[in-house]
Amino acid sequence: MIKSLIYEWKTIARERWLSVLFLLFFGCTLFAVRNGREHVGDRAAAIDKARHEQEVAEEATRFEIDSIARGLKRYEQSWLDPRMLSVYGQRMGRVVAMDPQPLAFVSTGQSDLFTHYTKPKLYGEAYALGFSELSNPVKLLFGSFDLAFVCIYLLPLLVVAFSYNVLSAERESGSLRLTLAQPISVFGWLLRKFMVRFVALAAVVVGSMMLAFLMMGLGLPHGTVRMVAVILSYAFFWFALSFWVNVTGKSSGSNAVKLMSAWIVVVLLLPAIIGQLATQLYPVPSRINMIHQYRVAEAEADKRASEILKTYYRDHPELARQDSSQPNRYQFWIEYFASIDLIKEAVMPVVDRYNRQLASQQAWVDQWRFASPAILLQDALTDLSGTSARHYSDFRQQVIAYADAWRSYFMPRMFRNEWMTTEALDQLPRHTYQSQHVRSSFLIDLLVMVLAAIGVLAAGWVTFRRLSTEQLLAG
Amino acid sequence: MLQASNLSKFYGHTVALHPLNLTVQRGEIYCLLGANGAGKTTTINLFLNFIQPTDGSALVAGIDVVARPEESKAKLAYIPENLMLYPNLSGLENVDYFSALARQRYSRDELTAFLTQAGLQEEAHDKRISTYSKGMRQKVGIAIALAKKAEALLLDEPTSGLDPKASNEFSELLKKMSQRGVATLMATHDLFRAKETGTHLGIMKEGRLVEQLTTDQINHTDLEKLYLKHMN
Repeated sequence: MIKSLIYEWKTIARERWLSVLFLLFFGCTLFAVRNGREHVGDRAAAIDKARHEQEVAEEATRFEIDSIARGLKRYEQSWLDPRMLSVYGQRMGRVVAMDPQPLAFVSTGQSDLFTHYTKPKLYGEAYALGFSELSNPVKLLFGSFDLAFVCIYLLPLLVVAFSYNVLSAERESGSLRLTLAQPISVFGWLLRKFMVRFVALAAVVVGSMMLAFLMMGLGLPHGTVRMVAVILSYAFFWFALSFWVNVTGKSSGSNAVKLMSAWIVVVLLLPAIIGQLATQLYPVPSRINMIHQYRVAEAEADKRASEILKTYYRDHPELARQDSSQPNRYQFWIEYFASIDLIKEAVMPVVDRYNRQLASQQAWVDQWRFASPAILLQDALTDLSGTSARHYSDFRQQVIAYADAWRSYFMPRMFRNEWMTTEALDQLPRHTYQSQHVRSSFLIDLLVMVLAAIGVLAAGWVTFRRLSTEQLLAG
Repeated sequence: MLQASNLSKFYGHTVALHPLNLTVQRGEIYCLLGANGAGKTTTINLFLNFIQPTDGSALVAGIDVVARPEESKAKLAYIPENLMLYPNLSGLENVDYFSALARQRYSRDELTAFLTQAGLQEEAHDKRISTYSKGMRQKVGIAIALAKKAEALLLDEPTSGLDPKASNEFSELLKKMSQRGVATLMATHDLFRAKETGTHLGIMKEGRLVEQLTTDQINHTDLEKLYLKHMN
């Protein structure tokens, strides 16, 4: 048994063109990892820069507020005075960033569609943030040359090249006759041949990746084991499919055509169709339309500002000042805050529709991802990379929540006609990116992939049972 | 050792093999003669369980080849007309590999001994099969049969395409095997070689065994006459 495995390995290892193929795969892996690392590096650098600028600006402003408080400096124009809550809240919005996960370089996912940090302000269209007609989760699945691309697209081709003729080549060369004259279970013998190839390919894939990671100075990021597991289960699926095609007992040419057709369907057609249907069935409202509606509502609210404010005070008596002898220096803003709810109300239907459509799109894709192992792998890898549509949707919610927190900090203080102080600076709300509560689909993806592979293998077994030795030899 | 009882094979209405009764004892070399399509290969394929008999049975050492194929194949060695081995492996490695499939383990020295017995020159043992001539490959086939400790040998036109010297060497090897008690069933077109090597002769025509005799009953000229009489 072990001896036949060793000889199987020897025959593979002595094929020169396979070494060439594997070198090519390693080259692709290295290039993909380099691209991914660069992409993530840019993203992290942009966030770091924004954070650093924020720190510098906050320190300078703290110094300035302190100087003004000590009477060392004063501003003639109130709209420049950093003690004005409106000035601070609008100008000094804090960075809300989506920090890259350790495996972010593996899959670009949606990361080239969205910004990874923003600075919510007092005034503005926080609700329109991240709205995009491009956010279809599948459409841009395979946009860039990253590790996910190499695995989803190229790995199956390698598996096919490596295994399409395992049985047919033996028949075509004639050695099958001698093999079938031996006291062996042909199914077991063929399975062993596939097993050796799977192990060899797994070693090459894992070896290429680890080497590329080390060469790119990435070490072994958290989640690497899970990533390798899902990639190998994808390779397992393709081997199982190739096994099935092999045991139909047809010629090498026929096997190659069948497997290439399977590749086209699984990797190209199904994802394209599912993605296309997602946008056709659940079109997302246009972003332009959304912003337009937001501004119309704003303008409308502006016109009726004093009337709106009166109603607002009636609803929020706690915000009315006891001492109204002096005019509130934030009068414009107070009217704006009073109208925010109205603006929200006007925009909400569009926002809701957007959210609903996006959720429906996501649900559709989530549900249909089981139709193609390529989508499953893509889902699992973006899940591990933190670049899935779910992650960006969650980040959008985090931004909205933070924008609300920021506004809620300033609003009551502005109604009370207060100033910004250095003590207050330390109490301003902060945002820390968290991805833990994004629902992970990794385990289901992995499980379904393995089950699919086993199912295909079982189908191969059934096909094999129906095949007589005569058919096996005749082709 | 090899026994066919009313063994037949039909493809629809076409008869590939009429009920055949044939026995090859230990140490006998039974040569099947006949034109192409006479049923020689069909008979061998039936003994190998490569095709299912329509009726009757084929026994190897008393084991039914359909009911217990793995056991019967353990006792058989087979050399087809054009023996194809793994071109990327050396002669020695091929013998080792096929022995492993037949659940036999040998040291390198033992494997070398099998190849030497089969007449393969020592310097070729470690060269890849892709560099071998047909005669050399047939010798590796014999070495595989020796290593397998086969009790029965099935040969399908093993000497066709071999030069006279190689063909003669091959026949000598078959005789040696038969002296060890191996039962051989060989399909061949070579009347001369059949008469020289074989102990028994059978002439087949259109799926029927039309003549059986022992080689000592007949000389070369009469064998040719007899053969042509059946063919015409």
